[in-house]
Amino acid sequence: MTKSIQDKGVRKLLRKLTLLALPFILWPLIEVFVLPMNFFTFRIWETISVNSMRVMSGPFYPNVHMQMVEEGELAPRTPYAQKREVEWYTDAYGYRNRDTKNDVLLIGDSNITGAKLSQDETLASVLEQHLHRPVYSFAPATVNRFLATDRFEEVPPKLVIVSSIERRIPELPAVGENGINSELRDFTGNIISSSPALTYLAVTADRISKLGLYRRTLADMERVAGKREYINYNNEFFMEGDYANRELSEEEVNRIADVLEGYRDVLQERGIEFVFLPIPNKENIYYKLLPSQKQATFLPRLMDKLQERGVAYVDLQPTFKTLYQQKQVPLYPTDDAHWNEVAVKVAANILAKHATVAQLQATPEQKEDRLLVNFRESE
Amino acid sequence: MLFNSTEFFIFFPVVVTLYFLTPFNRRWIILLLASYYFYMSWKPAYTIILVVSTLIDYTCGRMMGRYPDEEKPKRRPWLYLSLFANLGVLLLFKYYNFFNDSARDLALALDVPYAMPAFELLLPMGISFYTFQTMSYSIDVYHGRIRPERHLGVFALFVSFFPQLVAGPIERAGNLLGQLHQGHEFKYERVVAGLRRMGWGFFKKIVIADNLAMMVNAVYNNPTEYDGISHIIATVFFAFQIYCDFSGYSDIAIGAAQVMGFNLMENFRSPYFSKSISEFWNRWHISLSTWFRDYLYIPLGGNRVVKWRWYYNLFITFLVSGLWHGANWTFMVWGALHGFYLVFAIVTAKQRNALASKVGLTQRPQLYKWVQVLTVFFLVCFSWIFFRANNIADAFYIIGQSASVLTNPSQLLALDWSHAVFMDQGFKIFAVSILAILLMETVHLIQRNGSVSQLIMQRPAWVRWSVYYMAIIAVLLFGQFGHQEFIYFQF
Repeated sequence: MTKSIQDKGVRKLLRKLTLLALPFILWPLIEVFVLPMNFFTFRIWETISVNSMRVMSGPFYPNVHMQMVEEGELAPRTPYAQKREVEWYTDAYGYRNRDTKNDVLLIGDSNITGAKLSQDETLASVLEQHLHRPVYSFAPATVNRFLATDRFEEVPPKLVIVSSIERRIPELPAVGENGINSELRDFTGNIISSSPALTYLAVTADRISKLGLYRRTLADMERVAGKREYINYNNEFFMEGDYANRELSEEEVNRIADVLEGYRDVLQERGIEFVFLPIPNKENIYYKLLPSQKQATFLPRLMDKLQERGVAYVDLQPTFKTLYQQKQVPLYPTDDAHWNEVAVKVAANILAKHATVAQLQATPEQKEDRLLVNFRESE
Repeated sequence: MLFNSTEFFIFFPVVVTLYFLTPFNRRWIILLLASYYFYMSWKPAYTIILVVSTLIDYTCGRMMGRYPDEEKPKRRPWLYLSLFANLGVLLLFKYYNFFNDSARDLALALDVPYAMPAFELLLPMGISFYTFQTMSYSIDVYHGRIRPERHLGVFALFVSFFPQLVAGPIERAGNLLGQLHQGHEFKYERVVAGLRRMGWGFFKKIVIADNLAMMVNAVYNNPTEYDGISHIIATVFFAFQIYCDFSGYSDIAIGAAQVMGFNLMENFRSPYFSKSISEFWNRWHISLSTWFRDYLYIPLGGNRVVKWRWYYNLFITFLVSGLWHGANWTFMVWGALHGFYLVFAIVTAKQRNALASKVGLTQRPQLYKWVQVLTVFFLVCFSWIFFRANNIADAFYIIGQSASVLTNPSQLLALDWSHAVFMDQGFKIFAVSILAILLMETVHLIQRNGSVSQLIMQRPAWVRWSVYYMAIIAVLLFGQFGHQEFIYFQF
């Protein structure tokens, strides 16, 4: 060590820098180890979703059981927010399931996960009651993640239902796109899941990175004085407004049909049945509330293409429109873009009657234990 | 590597720690490695240009040093080699496509065949800065103002010193080379002052410049979607954006060097308080304007020539300065405008003084001063329109729309505030920007009579620490952390 570094000023500087940094180091630790996990969040989703540790298996912390009064994502902490108590369970892989039996696998987005829905109201749970067969919710996730996940190779499902909210359908990845990321995550996720200590460390590190107070303060400031992005017509909130009902080109619709056909083919190769379940946008069903009152044409066009190609699908749009427009049954919460528990029941009912799905009911349930892992409370 | 990146927040403490742990005579190795790593983290391949430029200028310097000062003709070939190499690289990477496109357009207009190919070359970061720095070294050695550097490692460090490598200040060999040979003790007060200076730079960049950038970009990238009032506000905001962006960079560079014991030259001295355009150029980007003064304006003859030649020298110097900033006609117009301002100021000095006296401004010095400051600010803002606009047509559109506010002030009454004044970015960004600018200018005013830093140091500990914590929290809450590049990186 040189003479210059022996100056007592070094110690003084380090002491002062430590003092300066201390509150910013201590506070996240207080958030993680002292305050309740959902102290600064408005939904369980944000509370238990993986923030930055992209090496964990699933999208949420594993083995969680949590109840919380949630607000919708489109106007949280505003007078428009509609509070609702919900309950969540996540399995050992960090997906929203009580166990990991998987005769039927539901791949999808936040609608399938069940934003603002209680555990028993999620599509997986309701469909399970219809089919009397285990339905596993693998959401939010993609087909590529499914293909890269070892446990589904070891114990494959009989049927895979790929679902997507209408607005995200054009973004569905073709088979193989970013598959390497899914394989890497499956590998690292298995390592982390293999040891409770590793799981605890990964979850704790991720929770520290969340900085709840900081994000909550920024969000509050943005809401009070920032750029307002809420799209509100007749006291109903929308994610995209008129943009959601835009026309897609013929080439784009064909490209999406190609992607979905690819899903069917790759699953067929593994001896797995495939059904596509598009979920209409709130804007699609509530189009009369929008300024343009323009009807969406995308889903019927896509269904026609899928019909031509022999890709199995379930069309919810006509039933949803009839229910909302003729019988005034709300299918989406006022303050949220996801479907509600009524829409889920309707969807499950239609889905269960689809020939490919219904045949599962006809085949007797296999008796062998297909349980990979059961939910267990972490505490 | 950007100063406002997570990587730099790890890189800098590591380098400083290693620097002070290393014996004096080996520290250049640490700094050289750090500087090359800093540069390579952007695009490793372009480091070759930096190395080649360094080797050529080092060799030229050493070769010139073999001849005594009075034998300049023998030194001249080596000077020319150095200038040719530096200007050649600059011309190829920065100006080739500009001149080539302009020549092609001209040939097309004249219906003349033209076959020069266009190159898809990415502009090497900092090339305008380090080539100017090395050219000044070669010219100074040629004139015998400095002795050539013998130590290749130290010379390479002079060219690549990471705090000021990519955006200046453009250091002179006479100032920096000597310091690179000295051993710097760890001094608590100096290190803290350097860190404080860096903090002030980060505040200017992250809180002021990057918030303003959101509004400025919204308008300047879509000028037809906004009306005159937005154009005026966006132009004034751009004036502060570019000042905070660039002077913020200089503060971080000077502060980082200060932490390690080096004194870099000041690059800005509250330029928007200037009372004349020439004073503005004595306060704005000082290292560049003095470079042009010493290596272009004075060699052209400066003001020791006949009047028309003096005006010509001034105009050419600023035209070249415009070209230095970018290979685009917008920068040429910007430089020409400043050249015109300066010539006009000299030509009309008597008449303007007489007018000021006639309206009684000379009797009220304070008012006169603020009229001058606002006039200079207006002229500078007008020139910034060309500097920031994406093309000449956009610049003229913005000028036309801005002027329309004066002819039709009724449009102010029917404002959609979020669109016109906040430029669709929301009240928060607007308010934070205004408050931060006011805070900065207040600090500038206080610093004319003393140091804000000293003022804080004289307060009790709880006040000092409260100020520090509030400053950090303000930066965290109101700063933009999208890792926006510094504007001057493109030059």
